[in-house]
Amino acid sequence: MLLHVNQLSIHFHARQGIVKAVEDVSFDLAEGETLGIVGESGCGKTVTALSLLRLISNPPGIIAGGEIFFQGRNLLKLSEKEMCDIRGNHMAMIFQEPMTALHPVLTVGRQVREPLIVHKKAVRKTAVQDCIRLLKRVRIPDADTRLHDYPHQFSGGMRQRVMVAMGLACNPKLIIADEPTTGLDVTLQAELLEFMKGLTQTEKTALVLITHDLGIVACYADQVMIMYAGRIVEKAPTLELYRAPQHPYTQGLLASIPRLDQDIQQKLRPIEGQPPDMANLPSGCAFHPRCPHAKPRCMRELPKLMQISTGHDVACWMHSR
Amino acid sequence: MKPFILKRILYAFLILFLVSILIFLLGRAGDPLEKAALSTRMGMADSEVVDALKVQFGLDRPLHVQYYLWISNFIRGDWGKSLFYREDVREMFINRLPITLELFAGFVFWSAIIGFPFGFIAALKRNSWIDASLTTGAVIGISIPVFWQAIVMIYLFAVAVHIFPPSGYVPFSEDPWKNLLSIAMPSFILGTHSAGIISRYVRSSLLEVLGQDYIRTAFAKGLRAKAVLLRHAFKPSLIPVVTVIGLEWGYMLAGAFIVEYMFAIPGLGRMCMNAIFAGDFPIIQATLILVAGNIILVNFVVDLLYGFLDPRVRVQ
Ligand SMILES: Nc1ncnc2c1ncn2[C@@H]1O[C@H](COP(=O)(O)OP(=O)(O)OP(=O)(O)O)[C@@H](O)[C@H]1O
Ligand SMILES: [Mg+2]
Repeated sequence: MLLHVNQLSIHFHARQGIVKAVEDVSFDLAEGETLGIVGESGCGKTVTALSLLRLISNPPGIIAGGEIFFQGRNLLKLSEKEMCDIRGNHMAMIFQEPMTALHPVLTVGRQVREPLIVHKKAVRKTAVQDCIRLLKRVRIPDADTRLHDYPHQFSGGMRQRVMVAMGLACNPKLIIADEPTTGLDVTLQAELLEFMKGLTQTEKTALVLITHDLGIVACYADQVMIMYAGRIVEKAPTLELYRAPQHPYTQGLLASIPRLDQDIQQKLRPIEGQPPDMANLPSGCAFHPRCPHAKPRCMRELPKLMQISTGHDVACWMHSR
Repeated sequence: MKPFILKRILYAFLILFLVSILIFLLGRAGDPLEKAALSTRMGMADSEVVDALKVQFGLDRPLHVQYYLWISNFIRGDWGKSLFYREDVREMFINRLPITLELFAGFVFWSAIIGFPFGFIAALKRNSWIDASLTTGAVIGISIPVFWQAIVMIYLFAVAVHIFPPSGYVPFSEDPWKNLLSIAMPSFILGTHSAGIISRYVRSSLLEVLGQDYIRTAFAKGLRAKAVLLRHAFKPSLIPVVTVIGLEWGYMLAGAFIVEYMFAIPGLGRMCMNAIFAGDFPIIQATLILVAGNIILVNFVVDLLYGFLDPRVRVQ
């Protein structure tokens, strides 16, 4: 197993109190596999991703518990120096906002070749060549001149590709892509995702794909993990999840997107209510105020994540005795 | 980059031109000769003498002609004669400018050597007792008036303990060590004010930069903290600091004049103060032009630095 996350919890000490941004999250990821993480804004997707690289800023955040095994080593036990050798080298992250995640006053070339210089001890000249190759790989036209440009001279889609090129620089074993395609038009979106999917096949790279978009997950992920208020509510192989969603939240998410195989007459039903305040979560199951099937027990007790069939876990009282 | 610089240069000259008109008009406000006479308590002489003087200084001609003559002479290096000392104004400036420049260099030295490191340390140790004491120090440095600080420091370091001379100036050519001693305290007084402001700005600017997404990206690439700081955080954190340095630079020339007066340093400031009291308008005008030129030059340099530090400015 390339990545094994076990009961990970991440807390933030905010002014309103302790925010349990990620609580008791476990998952596995093998080489060449793609895991989709889906959930509403604020449910802890980015925080989960950042913790894999141990990039949670402390203060205010702390990794309150759990284990992260990557290539057999527990990342939470490594020194900062050892962590630096992993970041950008064996594990890379593509950030959510290409607008702000790229350095505004350094040239794109310098930013893309930096991982090579840090990890591969590349000299500047070969790094420049590699950098041009990388930019060409993500299909940036005129890569050899665009190298000298600054991020503000690129369009949103191009910046996103620059982020991808930067992530790919050292051929990492694991790529974490945090909403890599939000805000891109559909063709660009497909192109970038196809490209990354290609890497999982040719290079056996594992991919963590974070998104709001269940459509993207359906096309590209092998496994899906649905998060709500910092916890996993359902985790299943993609096909299974779409065929037989078990958690009311998953069902709600699926009912709120249009489907081709559905009667046009049938209305889309968005999930009622608002995502919860993370500093002040509802008692019991955090989803109960919005759940159409809520029972008194859901308000009192938190349901555990239980396996209902091979590889399919659900955290809901409807499915546990 | 080239059109950017060219535009800035043109802009600087335009402002200098407008400012020179203003300065010229200020010098002509009221009857300059009358003012000069009043302040020297000579009383006005008979009208023939006054008229002769007016002709001598060109005050009988229309204003725009006067301006043209004045500015063209000024550019050619003829800055007129002092009404009071009867000396060539340009000569007087050339004699005193090095002294003020030395004071100013000392000011820049102190404010940089205190302001930048303190700001960095405060940011890196934020919310610790180190940060708190540096902040307190900075606020004190900013809020103490120059003249009060001068009095206290003269008392402490020249009267109570004889480290520095209480006032006066020794030329470098005469005795380099004494020269440094005589300039150290006045320039330090100027420097502490700016150092306080610079350290505050460096601190907040660095903290802001360190909270940016692109710094997280740098860490995600596997850079060590030191490399992130030097290669990614340092340059953008200077952008807002450059602005305050520019402002302080202009502001502190005025401070230098006050300090020169207090420490009896025979620089431009002292000369200008005396000229103001005496209504010696050729000197006042030349000083104002220099002060304005200094500020315009600094603004120009600040703009260039912006362009250098921030590529987003360049393309506009
Ligand atoms: N630096 C921080 N300080 C305090 N709380 C934080 C911090 N970072 C994240 N959180 C909290 O952690 C929770 C999860 O945030 P996260 O960024 O992971 O959401 P997300 O699922 O990625 O949302 P989005 O889809 O909008 O990107 C948020 O509710 C937020 O309140
Ligand atoms: Mg996010």
